Amino acid sequence: MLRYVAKRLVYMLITLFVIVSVTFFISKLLPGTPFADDKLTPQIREQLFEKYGLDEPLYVQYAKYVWNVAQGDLGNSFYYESRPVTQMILQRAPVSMFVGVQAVVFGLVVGLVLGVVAALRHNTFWDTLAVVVAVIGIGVPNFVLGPLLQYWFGVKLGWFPIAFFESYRHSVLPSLALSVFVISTVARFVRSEMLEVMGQDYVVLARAKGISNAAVIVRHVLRNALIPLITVLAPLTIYLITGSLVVEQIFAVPGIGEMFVQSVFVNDYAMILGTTIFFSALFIAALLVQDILYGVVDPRIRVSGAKE
Amino acid sequence: MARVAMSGGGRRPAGAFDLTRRDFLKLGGGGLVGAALLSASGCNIFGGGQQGGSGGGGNGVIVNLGDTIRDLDSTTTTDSVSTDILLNVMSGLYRLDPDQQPVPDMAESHEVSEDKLTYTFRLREGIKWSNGEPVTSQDFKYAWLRAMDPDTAGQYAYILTTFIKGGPEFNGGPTSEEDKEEHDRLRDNVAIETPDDRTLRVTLQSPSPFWLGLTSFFTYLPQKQSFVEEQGEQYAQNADALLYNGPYILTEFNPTEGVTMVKRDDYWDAGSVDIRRVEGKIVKEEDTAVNLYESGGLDVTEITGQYVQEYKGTPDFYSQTFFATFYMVPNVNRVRIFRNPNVRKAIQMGFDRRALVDQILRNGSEPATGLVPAGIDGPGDQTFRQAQGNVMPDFDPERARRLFQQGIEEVGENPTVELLAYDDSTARDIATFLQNQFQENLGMKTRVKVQPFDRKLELEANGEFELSWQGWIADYNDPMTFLDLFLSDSSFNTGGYSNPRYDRLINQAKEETDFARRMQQMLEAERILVAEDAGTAPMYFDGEASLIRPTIKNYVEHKYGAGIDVKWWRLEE
Repeated sequence: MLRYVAKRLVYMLITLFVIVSVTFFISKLLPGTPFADDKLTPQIREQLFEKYGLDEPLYVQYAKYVWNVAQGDLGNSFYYESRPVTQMILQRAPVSMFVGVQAVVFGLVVGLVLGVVAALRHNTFWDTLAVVVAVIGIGVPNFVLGPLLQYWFGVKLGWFPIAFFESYRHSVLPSLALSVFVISTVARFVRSEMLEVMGQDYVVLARAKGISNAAVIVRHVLRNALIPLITVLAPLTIYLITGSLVVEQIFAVPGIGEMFVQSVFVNDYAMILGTTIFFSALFIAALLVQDILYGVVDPRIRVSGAKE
Repeated sequence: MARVAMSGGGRRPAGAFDLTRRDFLKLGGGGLVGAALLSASGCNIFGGGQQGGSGGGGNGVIVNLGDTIRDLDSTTTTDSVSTDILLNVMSGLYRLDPDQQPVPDMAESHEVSEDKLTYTFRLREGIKWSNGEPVTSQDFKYAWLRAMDPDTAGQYAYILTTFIKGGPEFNGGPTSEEDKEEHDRLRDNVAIETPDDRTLRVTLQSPSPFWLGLTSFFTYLPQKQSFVEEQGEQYAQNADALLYNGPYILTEFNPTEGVTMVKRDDYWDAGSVDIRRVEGKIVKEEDTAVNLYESGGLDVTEITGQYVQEYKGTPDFYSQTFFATFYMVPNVNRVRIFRNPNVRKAIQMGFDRRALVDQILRNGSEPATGLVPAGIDGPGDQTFRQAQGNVMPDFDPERARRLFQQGIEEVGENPTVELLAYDDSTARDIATFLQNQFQENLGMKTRVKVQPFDRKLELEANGEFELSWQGWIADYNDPMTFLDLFLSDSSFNTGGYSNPRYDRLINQAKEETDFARRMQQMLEAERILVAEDAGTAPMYFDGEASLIRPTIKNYVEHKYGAGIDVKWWRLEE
């Protein structure tokens, strides 16, 4: 197991290097420069390019950049004068992560319950209700749901703050908006997986042996239904942790998603690259966790043996 | 606990079974525990510092800054949010009053030499920085030189180098890395002298009556050399890494979350400052901002579009125009028909400026009556527009069509013209509007080309466009800031307009020491540019609409330079 993890870590670093390189060159292909001011004279533009090292040949810029990243220095933002990218990412990322993880946990719980109920009460009112909720959750976009939640729970009822991120209560509405998608996805998955598993012989046998309902569900049905769920969960978590631009903008939450999108619009090369590296590292780590989880949940998949 | 009985009908598949409430609890409980643990661990990431929503009470206001704060170093900053803040926490030699006129701030008086070129400022006694050190003339000299230094690569260096003698040579010369000796020599040649701590003497390149107002511009703010050098890379990165000499100090500063400004009792004019506390928040989403305004979470926020319709006429509504004009630029170097004056005149009268402003922009903008916007100083006590009147033809589709037809006949072609726009929803709306107007009213076909903003600027700078529109915000309160855009050799004259008479008038005006005559020259120049030559088609004077808490009186947002100037505001109880 340990050898496997070590091998995966090496692959992770190689992948990260490739991602950084590709992103570096693609970001240089973006039309325009970080300095979009209609008052710029050619002379000042030249000075700026020199100051930020943008006048050097591309391969030199690339080499310098890779060298810095290897030392943990993601450079300074072009948009936010001289502010270290690493610092800005570390400041904003926890906010998005918190909102995202809360959305995933809440969505998981509710989705699980909905899915389980739907499967167990297959073809009844509960099943239909769960499916309807799931479809609405996937169908209604964030930019509709967000303002609706904000208006009803924030303005009209006043239960939660309308915007900003100053206390725990401020995180509820944004997480809620994000969790709806999770609920739908999880509910649908759990429902269909459970339905499939419940028809299997070993489940009937377990019941016949007298094991309680809950125990059968948890120990047998759910564990098998969980594998496809784990597959979906890793990308889902990353999607949420990296911050939803829409939700963050609507609720004025100082997260990393919004910062990343803004950096693309203003050609802030350093920030684009820095956040890409950050997201990629997270994603690759999540994939590793995912594979380990497979091994935990399903004894048939023995990590050191099977795949490669 | 009651067991949930199997419902009748028995249509469930074999192997299905009932779920008791206990089972539900077991499943759900585990999840909730997990969630609770998670939220307990997240406590320290919340912006605990900023008191949620309490800014409104106790003589404070909450302002929506609208965008993130990029840079609080006055020598390099460019964006309007940062400069809004700097205007309130720092002070220059002069400050603009509610009528855009300069009044003494750090300076108590000034004298101008006979040839109008040398200004001698006398600083007030006892003015201090927030750390107790005195504000001296060296602070101004240091900051101004730093702003002009090629090492700094400040984007607003030109606001100093255009006027101060020795500036262009210094800024255009080598960096200290390239040639330290030459760099330092050129720096020492810049005409700024500090005969003593309270006297500052500056020599300009040419007579500039508006320059006094410019000393309130953010790039002209002072900086304490010892403090700046001590802070090094950290300078202006957080609230403690800045010194304040203005009406307020920053107690909190986060570039993506906002600021808290608190009244400074050490300010020489603290007695005139009414509002004790200002919170600057950042809400980019307009719907959210309006919701916050309605619930008291914001006291000042900008609005556009449908909100302007909704709130117009209510006590919360406020709008004004700025010293900013948007105008069409036909590229005479690329498009033959634009060299024909009839075609250009047709364009001027061929689109409905009132409709553009009222239906498309809906943000407080006003139709342009010339290139120089309303409010800019004119001769004597008049504004330029008052003295000049309207030099734009009225919207007249029939006449426009006749002129256009005449023009294309004279040239011999009627090509489809490419209209350059940038990718912002307002710009796209304007482009569509213009396209329709030109098609219907002139019979001129256009093809819209949308580009990201900086790409558009690049294309324009290289002359690689056919028809475009641009906006210019005044650098100072004088018509020259707009008129010199159209000099034949200006890098901002992207359309290639060239008239030797115009050039002559403008260049004369730049050297003219008789300021009354100077105004006459500029009035004539604008007539030539807009009325005679139709070298450009001014569209609208940019405006802004806002929701402002009715208890805020004497709201001041300057029409050029930096914006909100809270010192002048009054809070009615």
